[in-house]
Amino acid sequence: MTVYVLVALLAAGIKAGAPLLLGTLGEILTEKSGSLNMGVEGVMGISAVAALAVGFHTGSIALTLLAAVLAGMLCCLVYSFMTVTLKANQLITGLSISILGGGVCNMMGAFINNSAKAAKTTARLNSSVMRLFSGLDQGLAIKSEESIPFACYVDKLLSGINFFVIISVILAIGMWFFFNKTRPGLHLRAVGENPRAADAMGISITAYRYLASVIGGAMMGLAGLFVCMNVGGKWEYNLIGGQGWLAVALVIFARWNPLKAIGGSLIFGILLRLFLHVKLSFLPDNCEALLMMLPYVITLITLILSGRKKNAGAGAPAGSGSNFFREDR
Amino acid sequence: MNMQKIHLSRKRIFRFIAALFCLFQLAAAFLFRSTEAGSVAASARALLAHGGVAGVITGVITIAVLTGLVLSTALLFLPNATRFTGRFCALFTLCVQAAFSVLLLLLCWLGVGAPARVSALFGGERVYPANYVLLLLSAVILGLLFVSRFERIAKKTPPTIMQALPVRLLAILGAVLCSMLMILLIGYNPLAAFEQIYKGSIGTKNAMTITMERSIPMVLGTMAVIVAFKMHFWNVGVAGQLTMGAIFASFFAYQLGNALPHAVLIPLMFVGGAVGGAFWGFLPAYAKVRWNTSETLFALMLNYIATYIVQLLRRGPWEDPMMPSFGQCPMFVDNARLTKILGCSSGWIAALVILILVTVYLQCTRHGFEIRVVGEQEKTAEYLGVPVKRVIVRTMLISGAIAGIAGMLKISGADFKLNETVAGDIGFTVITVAWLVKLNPLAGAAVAVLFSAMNKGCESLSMSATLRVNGVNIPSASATVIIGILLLFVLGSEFFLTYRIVFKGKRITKGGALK
Repeated sequence: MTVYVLVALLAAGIKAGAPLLLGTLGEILTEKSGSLNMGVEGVMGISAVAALAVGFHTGSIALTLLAAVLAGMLCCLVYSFMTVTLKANQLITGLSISILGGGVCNMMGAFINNSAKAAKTTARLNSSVMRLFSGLDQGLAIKSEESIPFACYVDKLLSGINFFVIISVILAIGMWFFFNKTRPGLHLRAVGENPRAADAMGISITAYRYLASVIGGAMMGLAGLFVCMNVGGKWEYNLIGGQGWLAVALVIFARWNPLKAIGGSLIFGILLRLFLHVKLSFLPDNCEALLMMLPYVITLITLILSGRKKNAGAGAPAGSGSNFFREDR
Repeated sequence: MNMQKIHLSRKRIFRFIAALFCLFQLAAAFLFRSTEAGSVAASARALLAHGGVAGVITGVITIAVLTGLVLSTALLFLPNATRFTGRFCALFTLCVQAAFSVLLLLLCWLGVGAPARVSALFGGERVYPANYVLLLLSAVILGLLFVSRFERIAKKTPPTIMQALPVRLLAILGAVLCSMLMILLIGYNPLAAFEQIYKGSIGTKNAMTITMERSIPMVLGTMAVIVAFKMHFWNVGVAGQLTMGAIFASFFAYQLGNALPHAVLIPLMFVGGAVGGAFWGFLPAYAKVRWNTSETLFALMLNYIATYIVQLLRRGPWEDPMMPSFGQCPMFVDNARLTKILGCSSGWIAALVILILVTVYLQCTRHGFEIRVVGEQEKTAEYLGVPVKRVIVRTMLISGAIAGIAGMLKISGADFKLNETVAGDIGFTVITVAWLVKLNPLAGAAVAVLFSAMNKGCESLSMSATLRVNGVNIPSASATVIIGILLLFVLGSEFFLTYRIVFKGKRITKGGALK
């Protein structure tokens, strides 16, 4: 039985880690180009609620996905406009996007919910859209607890893999390939490491930062949609609930490497779902908050370990966090 | 040579007319967006459809004139080159104009095919898609006008406060207009909404006392943020420090609530709150100093951990024995509650005192000077002999302590119970306030009161019976949205204070001066 529980935990962890992975990939792309976008939480919130609105009104899978992606791209477009063109402080701009995004998510979510309630329906994504969320399993039930056939294990594992998981893994591998094996990827990394040198070579800082932000925003948008589906395709107060910040921390945990991000998101996903699947008998009752704290504590430890002098931001793009103005001395 | 000169000035006239038209189109389309005649072009089409011969003639002339005006912005796309002769120019312009007219007429026609959609999303208002498309087109043309004249940006001398005032006020005005637009788009009357916000926040005596009550933790939170931000230490963990202060203060309230007299318990809770917040502020500072971690993320994680600690406590050792398995903390005994003065808890005295102390501390003491130097240039601070690491840790202890005191005042003045929501939105709102006032403590306190008024007002908005469409109110989270929009606008306006835009067209005259 315990192996089955572990497999169930693994499957749940994969599913829980997918939004983190998508958000992290978007953030890695943005940060590699030198834009420190802290507003992932806000972007995810806005795209979640936009996708919910579109999905609720139209019921079409394509339009819902499109809405999520476009909303994420629009938010990150605003962010990159403010940092690249208007040269505002990147950290504070990111924070304000996360504040605004959280506010918009709460406000429009409540509004849609109340409107639907007043019209005697519930605002949720319908079952055809939710098919994106369901895993690849056949729903095999366990008949007896003693001998569980191998097929059930595989089935349980497959239940954790859905459309978003597949997309995120493909994106991660694609991003790794893009960064390390293609010329535009090299240019992007140059823009992040040393914008002045890249500019001297004729690489357009503005174009790369804008594109990186916007494409990263598309990924964050998908993550937001997935978080919405995680709670059943409805809206909840504080929908994103800190997963955006976990994605930002995961970027550091994964050393800005998309492949390591896959593993990292798996670990974080398992930690997020640990309290649901595992009842540690030596802990007193009602101590699940301790388990729920774990992802954040692990993040803290990660931050400490990766910030130490001998690691000093290994992998961090050296030029990230500062705006580029060619005429600056 | 002569042809060139005429060409240029015609361009200028057309540009001017195009800009005027676009502004006119924007205003018309916006003011009448709910009518079929929402934009001038759509009304021309309506004339065509409903009028007789006169209507047809008027309609055709209107459409032609409007088309010609809008499309003369096609001149924007003409290169500034001289290699086109006059005739080629004219032909090119004609072709682009024709293409644009087809587009415009197509848009008007679309407005007929699907004239209105009753949108449940926008509060049941009738939406005319064609109007919004024309609105967008006009905005795009205006933007192109700007982009075509733009050459480069250059840094300028930092303006004084009085010089910067118009830009800041414009930013605030822009934010207010943007929020009004947002309220309009979801189907409510923005002026009525703002009136309700005003009435609900300071209109009645009851509302005023609640606003003052809520502004106490906001003012203190702003002080905490300002102290840390002055050092360029982005302390976003104010919410967590507030929660920790509340936890420590509740410890004394729950354990010693009836054992100690009121006059001893309250100061004890006060100190407890300060110690709790200081501890939670110490952690990111130490991590930054010792291991060079990112203080933003560290403090943020601590926020969530603090919330989970509260959850642990309220379902565990501090659970209310009267309501078991509900997982709530009990209410404070009267001994642990702050006395009320004028209906508002006496915490405002502490807030006022701390405000004055912080202002003096930052402006007039050597510590304040050290904080500023460490914030501006760490290397200079080291050169001056300022112990940078000690300053960082010391300042964060103070910042955390202030936030912890805010937490203590909140639970023993208003909430009377320990709960996860003790910090609420305060954590991020106070960052907005601090940034808005450029880290000035006195202005920060004023704006903090204003924002808690806004919060209270938006809450009353969400419950008002008059501002209801289809039985749905504007949710109270609109306060966060308005505050977020304001922050974005102010951040964007800083660009206009640091850089100036250089437009094309400055020619050097014979004397060498720039024209």
